[in-house]
Amino acid sequence: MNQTSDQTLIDHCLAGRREAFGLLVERYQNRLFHSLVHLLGSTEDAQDAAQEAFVNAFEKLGSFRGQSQFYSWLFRIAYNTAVSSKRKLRRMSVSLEARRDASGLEPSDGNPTSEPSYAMDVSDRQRLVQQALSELGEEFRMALVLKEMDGMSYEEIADIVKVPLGTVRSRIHRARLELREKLSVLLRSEVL
Amino acid sequence: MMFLEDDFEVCLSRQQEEATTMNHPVPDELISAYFDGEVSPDERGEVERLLESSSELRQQLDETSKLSALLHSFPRESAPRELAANVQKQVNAATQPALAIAQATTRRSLRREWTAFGAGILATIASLLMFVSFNQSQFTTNSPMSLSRAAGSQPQVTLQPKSASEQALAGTDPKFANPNIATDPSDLSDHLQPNLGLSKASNLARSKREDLASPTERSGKLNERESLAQNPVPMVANADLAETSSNSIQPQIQNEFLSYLANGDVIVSKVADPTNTVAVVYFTVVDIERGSNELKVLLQKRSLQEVEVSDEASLVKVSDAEDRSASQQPLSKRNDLNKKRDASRADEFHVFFARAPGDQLADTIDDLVKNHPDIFRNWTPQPPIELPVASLPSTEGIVAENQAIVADDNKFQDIARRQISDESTAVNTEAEMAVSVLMARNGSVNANGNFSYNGNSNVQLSVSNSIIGNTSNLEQKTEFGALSSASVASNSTGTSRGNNVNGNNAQSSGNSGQGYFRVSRQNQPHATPQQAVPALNKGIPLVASSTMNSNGGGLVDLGGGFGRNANNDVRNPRLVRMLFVLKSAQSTTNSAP
Repeated sequence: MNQTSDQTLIDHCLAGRREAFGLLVERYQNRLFHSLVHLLGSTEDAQDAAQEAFVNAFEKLGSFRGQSQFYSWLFRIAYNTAVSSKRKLRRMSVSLEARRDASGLEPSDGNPTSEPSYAMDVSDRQRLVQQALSELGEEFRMALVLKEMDGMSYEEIADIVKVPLGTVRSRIHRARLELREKLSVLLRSEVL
Repeated sequence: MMFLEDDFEVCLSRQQEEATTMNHPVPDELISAYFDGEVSPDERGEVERLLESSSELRQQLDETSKLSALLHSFPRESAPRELAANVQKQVNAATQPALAIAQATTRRSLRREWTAFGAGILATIASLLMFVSFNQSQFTTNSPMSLSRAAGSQPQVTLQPKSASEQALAGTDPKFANPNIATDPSDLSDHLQPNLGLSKASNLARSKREDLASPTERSGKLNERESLAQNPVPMVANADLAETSSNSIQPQIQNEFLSYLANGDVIVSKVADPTNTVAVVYFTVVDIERGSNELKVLLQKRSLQEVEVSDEASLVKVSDAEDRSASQQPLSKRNDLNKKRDASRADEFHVFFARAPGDQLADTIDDLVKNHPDIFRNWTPQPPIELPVASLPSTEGIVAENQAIVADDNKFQDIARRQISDESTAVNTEAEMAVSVLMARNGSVNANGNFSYNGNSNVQLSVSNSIIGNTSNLEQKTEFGALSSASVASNSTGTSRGNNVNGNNAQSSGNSGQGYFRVSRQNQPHATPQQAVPALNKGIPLVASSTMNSNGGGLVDLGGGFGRNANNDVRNPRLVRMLFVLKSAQSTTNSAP
């Protein structure tokens, strides 16, 4: 069954049917929230950013020209919202206590190699990965999250981040290199 | 010697591999991009060739793959429920004019300009066609359906509204009156959220948009007005033209509607709140009897509860009487009678009420339309009917009772048997109320601005019920106060008042175990609101307090987020009430001037 296109819903919104925007929210809230959680490292921040992004998007809907996907446009708004709110897009080199507050995850000593891999359960692995992600530079983390968590193409990422395609490729590669280094023990373990 | 040769070959192989890598340096990021499928065909060929000879590159690719798997091992984070609700509140608080202004000032892409231009041309052509066709034939019909159509078409054809409430009604009703009436795409989009109908606020927003419309759009509207100003009488758009202009959006609306039905959690906020509303779908059928039969078969095949409402009985009665007298009439009189009978048949409509899981209703609609394209020409979701919550016996009471006894196995069977009877009563009561409101919706606004039945037709319902799938067959006689309050927008606060008018006779007409509501629509003297009688013999007040259009055009707030499930029916949380209204394609065509 075909879904109503984003553009049709947007047209309805612009025609005064606010409820059509509700459909857009329903359509993209989970995807946006999922990516923002891994980008910001906190469900609370992700919720705030997503909420602000949706409201801003509604208010700016008239300026959406359909040259890019609605979600890309929405994510760009969310990204700018998060940046303007000075959320943790910068390298999240914060204290262990702050990490716990921000992510709701138990902090570790930051060295995955010290973790007994044989005892790692899923949540342990997720914690390590989230921590390693949070230590990436903002631009690398964003490119990788959009690729891996959100499933965007390089072109879509380039459109959101406003950088050339080659830069996206380079950033994703570097992010992977850095992550592989941080998670080398985990990647070599039998767990995966 | 042999050992030396083997050793030499291994060394040579390694050297060749290293040389290959050095001669064709593959940037590491190319492996990463290759993994993502983001390389050109040339790059892919080169990477694959090198991967065959380089174990280091293969390992690099393997680690990239493992890392990706690790990242994907995260469970998908679902947005908290309050996210949508919070957005909803803030969006509702946002000012629509700003949006409209933004629309007028920023939507200037070439494509949209052309769209606006096209819409203007279409509107102009439509108004000219209506003008011409109206001059060719006089608008004469006493059918409330037709009158409602005329009223419903007013906002689009910009006739002089008689009152504010009439204007509001006119903005709400056209989709019910005739699904094929030509409206602009944004108007048709109202079906997208049938729960909302069209609010006065949204009408105001539309008028503001017209004011802010581009010059092209404005010229179209002006032509339309100029053309119509010469015809200050109700008019109905040509059905064929309507189908043409709405073709582009109609499938989307239909798909969206079916999608809502199929997703039980969404239907609550988007189509009908199962606690007190009835979704309405209009079908234009070539052969109403065959259409009814196919629908009945499908509903029965799914063991869905249904009650049929039709005007078949009265038509037969009228026809029989005319047949008896016709033989004694001269030929010209007989021809007139035949024409009258044909016209009556053209106005025939069948209504089926069903209460079933939304996905099954969606499947039913889908099956009907796909499997019988020769019968079902078109279908359109309509604004739902809202029933007075306090009068519904089917949800809270039964639910509370169920919850109370659910732990008591001994009582369960007894309660279950009793519940079947309760179900029968509930379904029939709901069907009666729903049809009552449906008929009332076909009325017009009286001088006081209250919604009332037009009164040119009398409605007689004879009731005998049999619920498909149930063993108990409940017989009941109901005096159907035909026309109750309509919860159609008659004021901006969303609270509408209605009057029960035109009390009707009821007669039982058990029909081979299959029950029908029969609606006769003989012309009767005009009934006035003062003749109001209680709608149902059960004393159910049909003075509905409507919230259909109460949110001022904002997102539907049923007390929860976008996807809140407000259904209290613990037996089936996805239960949806629906009226299937089958209208003859002939009548649709005939109704157009």
